This record gives sequence, structure tokens and C-alpha cells, in this order.
Amino acid sequence: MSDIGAQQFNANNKKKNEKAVSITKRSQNKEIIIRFLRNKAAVLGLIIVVVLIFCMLFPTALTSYDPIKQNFSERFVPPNREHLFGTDEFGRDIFTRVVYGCRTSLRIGLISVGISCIIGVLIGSIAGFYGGVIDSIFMRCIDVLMAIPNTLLGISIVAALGQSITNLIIAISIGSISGYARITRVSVLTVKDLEYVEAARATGSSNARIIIKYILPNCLAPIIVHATMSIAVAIMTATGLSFLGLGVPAPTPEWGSMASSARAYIRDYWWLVTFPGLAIMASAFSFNLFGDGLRDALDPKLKN
Amino acid sequence: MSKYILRRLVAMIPVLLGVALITFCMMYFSPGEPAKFILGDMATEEDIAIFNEQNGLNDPFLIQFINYIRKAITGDLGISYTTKQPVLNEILSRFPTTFKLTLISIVFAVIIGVFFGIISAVKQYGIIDNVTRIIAMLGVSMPSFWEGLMLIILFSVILGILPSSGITTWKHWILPAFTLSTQTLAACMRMTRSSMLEEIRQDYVRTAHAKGQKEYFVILFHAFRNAVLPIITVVGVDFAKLMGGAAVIEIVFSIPGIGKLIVDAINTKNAPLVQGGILFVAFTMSFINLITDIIYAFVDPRIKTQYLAENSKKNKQEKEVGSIV
Amino acid sequence: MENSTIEDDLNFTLKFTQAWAPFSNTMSTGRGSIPSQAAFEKMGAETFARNPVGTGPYKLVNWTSGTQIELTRNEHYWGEPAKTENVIIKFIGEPTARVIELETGAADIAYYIEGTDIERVNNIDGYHIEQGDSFRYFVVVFSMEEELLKDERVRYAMSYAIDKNALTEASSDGVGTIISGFAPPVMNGYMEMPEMPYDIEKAKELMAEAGYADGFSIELHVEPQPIFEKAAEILQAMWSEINIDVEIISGPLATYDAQNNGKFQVSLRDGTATEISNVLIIYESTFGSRMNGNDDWLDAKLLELRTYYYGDPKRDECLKEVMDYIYKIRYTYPYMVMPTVYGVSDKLEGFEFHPAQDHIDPKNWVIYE
Repeated sequence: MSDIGAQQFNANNKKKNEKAVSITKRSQNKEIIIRFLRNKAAVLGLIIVVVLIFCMLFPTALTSYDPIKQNFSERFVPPNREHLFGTDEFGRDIFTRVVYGCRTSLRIGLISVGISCIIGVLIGSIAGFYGGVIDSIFMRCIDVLMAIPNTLLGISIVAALGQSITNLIIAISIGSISGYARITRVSVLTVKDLEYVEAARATGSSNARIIIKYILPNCLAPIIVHATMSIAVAIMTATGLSFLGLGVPAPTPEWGSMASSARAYIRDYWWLVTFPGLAIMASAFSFNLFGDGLRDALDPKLKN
Repeated sequence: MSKYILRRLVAMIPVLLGVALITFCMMYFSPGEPAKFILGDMATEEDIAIFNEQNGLNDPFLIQFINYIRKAITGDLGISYTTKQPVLNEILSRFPTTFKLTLISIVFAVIIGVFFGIISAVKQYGIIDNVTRIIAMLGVSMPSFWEGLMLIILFSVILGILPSSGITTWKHWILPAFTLSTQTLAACMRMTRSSMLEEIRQDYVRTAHAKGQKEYFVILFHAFRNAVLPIITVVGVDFAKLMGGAAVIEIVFSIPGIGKLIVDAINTKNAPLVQGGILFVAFTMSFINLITDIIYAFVDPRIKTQYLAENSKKNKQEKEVGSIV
Repeated sequence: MENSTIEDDLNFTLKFTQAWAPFSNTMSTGRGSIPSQAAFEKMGAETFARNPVGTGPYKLVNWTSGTQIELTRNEHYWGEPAKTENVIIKFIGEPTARVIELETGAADIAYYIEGTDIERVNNIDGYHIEQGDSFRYFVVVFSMEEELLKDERVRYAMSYAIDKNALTEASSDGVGTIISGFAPPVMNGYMEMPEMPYDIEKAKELMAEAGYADGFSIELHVEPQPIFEKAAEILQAMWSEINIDVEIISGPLATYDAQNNGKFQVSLRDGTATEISNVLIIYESTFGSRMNGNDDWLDAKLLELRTYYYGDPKRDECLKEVMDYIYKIRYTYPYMVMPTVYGVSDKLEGFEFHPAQDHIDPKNWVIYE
């Protein structure tokens, strides 16, 4: 039996298997989408998320006012046709500031989730895959991080590093790493000893390749769900810290700091504080619904 | 059992060390001479040099960190820059307020949350179930500062029946405690509902239901007892979290608690107070987590029997050795 | 001072090397209080600072740092004894919290009521507002040592870019009044100066002339109170029109000084001095970080000013010279004066309004049931 013949045989089989696998994958994806679309709440969440992303990318399509320019002849105008949400103490159109605030919040949310996801998945997969001492050390560090609540950690980091958008993103990212690390580690542990992983090891794939090609794809579902829900958490944390004066510095429009400066005026001008808060709630709510729907669609067994 | 407690205590240490490291780095790397803050504008170069020497500010990083830990253990958290009083005193004077607020919130959240959680589970998919689930979802997505401000607008400004700041009368606690309880309330409702549902689906409950009303209620009671465990975890975790996160509520309602103390200290760049405050809160949280774990261990029969079995095995071994000798 | 002599038990003479007009004003403030030397020597400076012994109508009973001071009537007072036996002064940093003290009846008087709280206090049963002119004025200050601000045209440009009316109206919620002189209008020696108008085009021209058509970045320091922070945000927007990028740093002055060795670039300050020399003192190089002063001519002139008594025509002359000079060099831009606002219980009798809140005298207060 020639080696070439054997190789050819293996190659053909591989292609056939891959094709079979890819066929099942395709219909599996379709299944997921169908399950998702059947969930009305999840669809609602998705719609709002799309609206938010639209606000982030094309604010000028929704409003022509300048979010930062002050206009002293138009202070404290109540909501009317020209100013949907009214104006603030400096005469700025609140609807505009809410729309631009969306850009700020979503950017912070997406970037921090991206950073913490990458770092967390890295830590979790290394810890889960190699086990032993590395696992213990990494998980101990993660435990320390988890013991500190998000707000407190954010406060500490901003207090130490100073107030800026970058430091805010750092603070939120650090706080979320532990979630991804844990999820990844658990997924890696369950898959690590399965047969096809052993097979891959036997054929000489490097550890990194094994992790990336065979193990991570199985963790994808819980990670994606967690990431979506974390965006909601990130937005809540960022706006909370800005409310305390520790987040985005003036004059960048940010929902939390808008609510904070509106505090002195709630007795006479309720619209200054109401609309930014509604925006926060809508964002968090929609990402939560979307994430919940994703989870139910990706793995109905996880539904409680 | 004591071994379990000891193990948990030991697990607390690296966490506290980690937090201490973070807060210490904060102080170490922040600009400005502490001497200038404490001694004032008039301090001369000489005064500053003496101060630094006396307080070990010229020692290397590690030595300073160890000293910091050493002092913290004995309760010396430094001097507040603004009032020149020991940081620990300031913290302790505000601690009871935050504790009281957190306690009231938790009690409220558990009572209402569990109540509605049970009803939701028993009457699954009924009106109450759907309504409470939506409210719970909304509650989790609502930023606490906004909820507080909206409640102030409704109850203080428009209706004028509840006060909006301070803690003088019992009425003053209503809005802040309610706002603080929202997240925990939602969690309790959801947790109770799902664990009750799990229990209700079990065979022993179904049999009881088939057998008749009176038995059903008794079994329901037992089902609830099993559902209590995860609720304890939720309560424990949230109690600790609230102790750390009540800052926003305290600011909105002008309540003189620890959270507000820390945030005000940050805004006035009062580094020792920020440091000491965060360390204290982290310590309190770890402690509360420890108590929760212990209570959980007592209540969960699985953990209890595991440790009782270990003890009896030890006793048996001793007895055998004893008899040989 | 050259020397001092004790004439007898109740009289002493101070001899000065030169005339010092502000003396009588200074003696009327806390700086003029006479402490007990025996007590000072017996206790030592630090203990005495926490337990002062003096000649006022009240004695110190207890001082809880950062919280409150308790006073009790001094039975040995040289004048008529105080009408109310015990007085407690509480330190409450947050404006809302001060109003709460009135709402709950825990306090009979509150100082420093914010503009947004005036209506609220008037609505409290049993309390009202006492309001009047004050010495509290607000000023934008440029550091005299700052490189970026060395060119006079830059400072003029920044002045032209400020809409004083808008700044005052918006940062004080309509409670403040604009001023056009370098001191509060109620002060002896106040001189109305020519307007520093709002002219954006002129501002841009000057910036271009000075070579800063593209502007620059600068740090604006303010105390962490809404009235300053709001003004800072307004200035940030106004100066962005001439391409100046402002970073707002909010924090206590002591901390900012300590962190920056007394240096700053631009800041917002308020002043509560009651005498004109004490207002202009910020320009003096010996006064430290207030303006990083370094002008010898001005130092000499301000010293000279203090030697002329009130009513002396030479004082007015000197004052005019100083004012014109300050106006020309444009290192400060005063914009507003705030009224003094007290929240007072209706049951309080004997309250005398005084614009300087630190000069309030509790001696004659009586609370009726």
C-alpha cells in the first residue's frame, strides 16, 4: 500500500466529513435563527439594539443640533416640537445630547466588552487547558477580582488613574474579566478530554491550535450570550460612575453626567433628568432581552 | 465544621491582600506630597523631610506596603486630609447608617420578592406571573440613581408625601431603601420562582397534589424549604454588594453613609480616606460572604453530613489506635 | 510694625513703620481678636489652637473636627452678656443637607443657601430667607507666570470671548449680578471700570495676531462646587469658539496647590474680603499661589495704597492708578457678585444681616418658642 494512496484516501474522507459537518452546521444555524425569531421579547430587544447602533453611527441623521454648543437664550425650554426632549441649563437640545450620549455609552460598552472578553477568554482557556498550578494561580487572581463589586472597583481605578474615558473603559474592562474567564474555563474543562481533542493531539497539532480550532468554538455560545449581557452591565456601570462625577468629563454628552447635573433642577425642570435615564433603561433592557433571547436560541437546554 | 470555617477564612486573605494592594498603589502613585496635605501650605522643606522620615515615606515600595498592611490590621488607616482625624473613626461613624439602609433594603426585597416568587411559581403563566416577570426585568435595567430621582419627583415634588433627603424620621428611609432593594427584589423573585418551579415539578409534589389540598400545602411548604438555599446565596451576595454599592443611593438621597463618604473623599482628593474606605468596605463584604457561606453550610444538609462524616471517621480511627495501645 | 507698648491693663499702643489704612478693618475681623497670652504659653501653640481662650461673648466647649463646634455663654464678658446661652455651629458641606437641617427644624439658621434652594426655604413652615448685597465676588484668574498667557493679546482675546451676562445668569441660576469693577460694588473703594465687551470676532483676530489662530490646550481649576463647575463648563464652551481647548480640573484648592507646587494656568476664584486692599492682595507676589504674582511695580503701588487713609485724595489717586493698570494687564476678569443668602427661623429675634457671612454676630440672637 503506497503512502500516497493512504494519504489520498484520508484526504477524501476528510473532505466528505467536512462537507457533512458543514451541512449540519448550516441547518443548525438556521434552527438557531428560527428559534430566536419566535421569541417576541428577544426580537424587540434586537430592534432596539439596532436603533441604538444606528444612533451611534449616524447621529446627524436624527438631529441637526450641536450637542455641545451652548445657547443661553433657550435655557430650560420644556419638551416641544423644536426640542423633543426640551433643553438643559445651557440651552443645549436634550434629544441631541441623548443621541450623542448613545455613541459615548455604546462605544464604552463595546470596547470594554471586547477587551475583557479577549483577556478573560485567554486566561480561562489557558487555565482550563493546562490545569494544575497555572490553573490555581489564575483562578485565585480571578477570585480576588470577583470579590470586589463593579462599582467599587471602578471607583478605585478612576480615583487612582484620574477621570477620563480611557480610564473608565479600563475600569469597566477589569471588572468584567472574571466572568469570561470562568465561563471559558468551564467550557474548556468539559471539552478538553473528549476524543477528537485527543485525536488532534495525536496528529501533532500544537496546543495553541487545539485550543483555537477545537475547543473555543464550543465555548462560543455562552461567551456570546455573556458578552451581550455584559454590554448592558457596562452601560449601567459607566453611567453610574459618570453620575458620581468619576466618568466621562465635560462637555461630552453622557447619560449619567447629564442626570447628575440635572439633580439640582428636578423640582422645576423634570425633563433634564427623565430622558437620559430612560435612554439608559432602554439600552440596558434591550441588551438584556437580546442576550436572553440569544441564550434561549443557542441552547434551549439552558433555559430555566 | 470548624475546618470548613477555617478554610473559608484563609481564602479571604488573598482577596483582602489584593484589594489592599490596589488601594495602596492608588496612594503611592498619586501626585503630591502627603506632608503638604497634612502640615498645610506653610510647611517648609525641612518640615516635609522630617515628616517623610517619621512616616517611612522614603522606604522602598515593599516595605511601605508591609507597613501599610501592619497598620491596617491594628486599625490605623491614616489621617483624613480634610478633617485631620483618624480615617477609621470617620468610617465607623458612618458605617451604621449604611448597614441599616442595606438591612432594611434586603429585608424588604426578600419578603416581597419571595412572596411574589412563590405566587408566580404556583400560578405559573398567570397574570401575576407575567406582570412580576416584566417588572423584574425592568427593575434590573433601571439605573438606581435614575430610579431614585424619579421616585423623588413623584413622591416628593409632585405628591409631597415623602421626604427626599436625610434620615431623620422613619419616612426618610422609605424611598432610599426601596430604590436600593430593586435589584435584589428582582433577583429574589426570579430565584424563588425558578427553584419553586423545580421543586413543584418533582414527583413527590405531584403525588401530594393528586392526593388532596391539605397535603399539597404541606408539601409546598417542604418544597419551599428546599428552595430556600439559593435564596440565601442571593441574599448573602447582594448584602455584600449593597454594602459596597449603596454609594449612588446615598448621594441621591443625601444619606451620610460610607458610600457617600468615599465618593466625597474622591472629589476632594482625600486619598487616605478613599483608601481606608475602600479597604474597609472590601473587608466588610468578605466578612459577610463568609457568614453567608457558613449559614449556607449549616442549612445545606449535603455539606453538613460531609463534615460530620469526616469527624466520625476521625473518631473511629482514634478509637482503633487507642484500643491497640 | 515698629514696636508695641502696654500702657495699662486696658490700653496698648502699636507703632507702625508706615501708615496702614486697612488696620481698622482687619482688627474688626477674626484676625483682630485678642487671645490670652498666659493660656497660649501654658498650653503651647497646638493645644491652644484647639482650645482658644479669648475675650468674646462665647466660650468654646467642644470642637469635633469636621463636624461641629459647641459654644457656651461667657459669663465674664466685658460687655452685655450674650442673650442665648448655648450655640452650636455645625459644618455641613452639601447645600441640600443644609436646607434639610432647616426643614427638620434641627437648625435655626443656615448660611450659604444656594440660588436653587431659595424658594424651597421660603416654603418651609417657620423659616424665611434673609438676602442682601454681599462681598462675595467671582473672578476668572490668569496665572501671571503662565507661558501661554504671557502675550497680552491672548488675555484680551479670552476676555472678549466671555459673554459676562450669560456666564453670570447661567452659573448662578439668575441669583448673581454682573460687576464691572475689580471688587464687589458695596465695598469702599469700588470703581466702575469700562466694560470688557463680548466680541468673538475681535477675540479671534487677537488670537490670530498673537500667533494662536489654532488655539491651544489649557487647564482650568475650580473648587468642587456647582457654582464654579457650571461656570467652568460655560467658559469651556465660550473659549472653544477661539479654539482654546479647556480641561476642567475640579478639586479643593489646597490639594491642587500641593499637587502642582502652587502653579496653575487659569482658575475661577471667589473672594469674600471686606476691604479693598485685601481684595487686591491676590496680585501681590508675596501672596503665593493665588495669582503667581510677579509684578514689582504693582507690588510697590499696592503697598503705597495701604499707607493712605480713607478720605485722603491721594488714596483715590493711587487707587485709580492701580485699577487702570489692572484693567490694562487683564490678568483677572471679574464677572459676578452673589448676594448673601441666609435661611433663618421665624422664631429667631435679633438677627442682624451682615453681608460678610463670617462677621455674623450671634450675641443678640434669641429663639422664641
